[in-house]
Amino acid sequence: MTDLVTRAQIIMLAETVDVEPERLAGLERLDVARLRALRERISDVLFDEHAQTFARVSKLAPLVPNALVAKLSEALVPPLVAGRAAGALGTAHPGRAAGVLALLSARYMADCAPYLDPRTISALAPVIPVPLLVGAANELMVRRAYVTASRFLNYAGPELIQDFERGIPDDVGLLMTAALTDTPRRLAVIVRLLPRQRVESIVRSAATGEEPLLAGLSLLSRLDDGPRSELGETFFAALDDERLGWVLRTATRHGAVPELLGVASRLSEPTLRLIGGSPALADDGMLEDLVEQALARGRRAELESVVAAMGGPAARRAAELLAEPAA
Amino acid sequence: MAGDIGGPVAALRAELGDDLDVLDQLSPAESSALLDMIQQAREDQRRALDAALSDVLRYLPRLVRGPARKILFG
Repeated sequence: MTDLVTRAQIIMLAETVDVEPERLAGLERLDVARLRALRERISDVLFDEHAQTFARVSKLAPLVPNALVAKLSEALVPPLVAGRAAGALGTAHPGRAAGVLALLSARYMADCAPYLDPRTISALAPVIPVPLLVGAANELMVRRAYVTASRFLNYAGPELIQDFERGIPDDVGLLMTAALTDTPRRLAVIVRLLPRQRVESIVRSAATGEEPLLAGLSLLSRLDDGPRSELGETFFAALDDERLGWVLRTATRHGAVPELLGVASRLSEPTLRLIGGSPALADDGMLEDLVEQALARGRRAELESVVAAMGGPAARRAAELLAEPAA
Repeated sequence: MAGDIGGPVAALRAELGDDLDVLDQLSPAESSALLDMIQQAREDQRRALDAALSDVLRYLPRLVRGPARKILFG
């Protein structure tokens, strides 16, 4: 499984050069930091290319009132152009950015969002009224455009992150978006900024479907030990037997055993015993797949510590598998 | 990359800058494909921007259109 964060960088790079992400699939082997550096440099080069044109467009501002700018934009300017121009114009005329955006539909703003110059997001956000940004963000949630939303979350300041939390009711949407955050340090900042109760609700929403689960495990596995342990407990405590089995099966089937182990290795013994007792681990081939994946991805030590704490028949079988010489 | 003088790796480096580590990890074929994509995107964006500006100019009030055209195109 290509991890979610790498995949998100590929999608953003594809948006930057306006191609289908499949054409960049070969680059998934690169690490996230390098992919991000590549994407940002290409984005900068392409934006800077049109800087002079945007500067000239910017000089039109005194001639054209907000209502006309908004009307002509939505009617005539494709999102690719409007998004690219918005950063430059908004930065040159911060006093008018809010006035124009207030007249645009959330739908059009969401269309333009993937094409904004990321360098301008943190500068522009403070001058734009929160309801406008939150409206566009909720539109992105409805469209499940989580990669685009993650660009805003990645570049937003603390206040905007808190505003997003208050204005976006969609737990799964916030989970999917936050899971695309590209460094553990940034993720820790975001998690710390949100009210604890909301974070718990977001984490529990991972149990509502395959994609949220994979996002949730990815997110939890990248947290520092303390929050990973606490929020991991929150997640597993909310699962009944059937849902727990589904979590184990889904994580294994989708190649997310390293993330599952990353979370499990910070759980308490009682929770691990509960997991160890899941009938899903007795499914045909399930434990073998899980162990094989863990070993193939260099997670022996984590698996051994989890197995030691789990107890029960599944743990004994896993220990036997771990003791077998490598094929 | 040695032996790539004038090739796609050097061309991509010239386009994006010499200080980008990640370029060392791209094959010549990947560098060439990426360079094509960047050039195509640049061309498409320029064309889309020009078209949008022409459209907007056409719909500006008559009084504003002349000064606006002068600002945009000199």
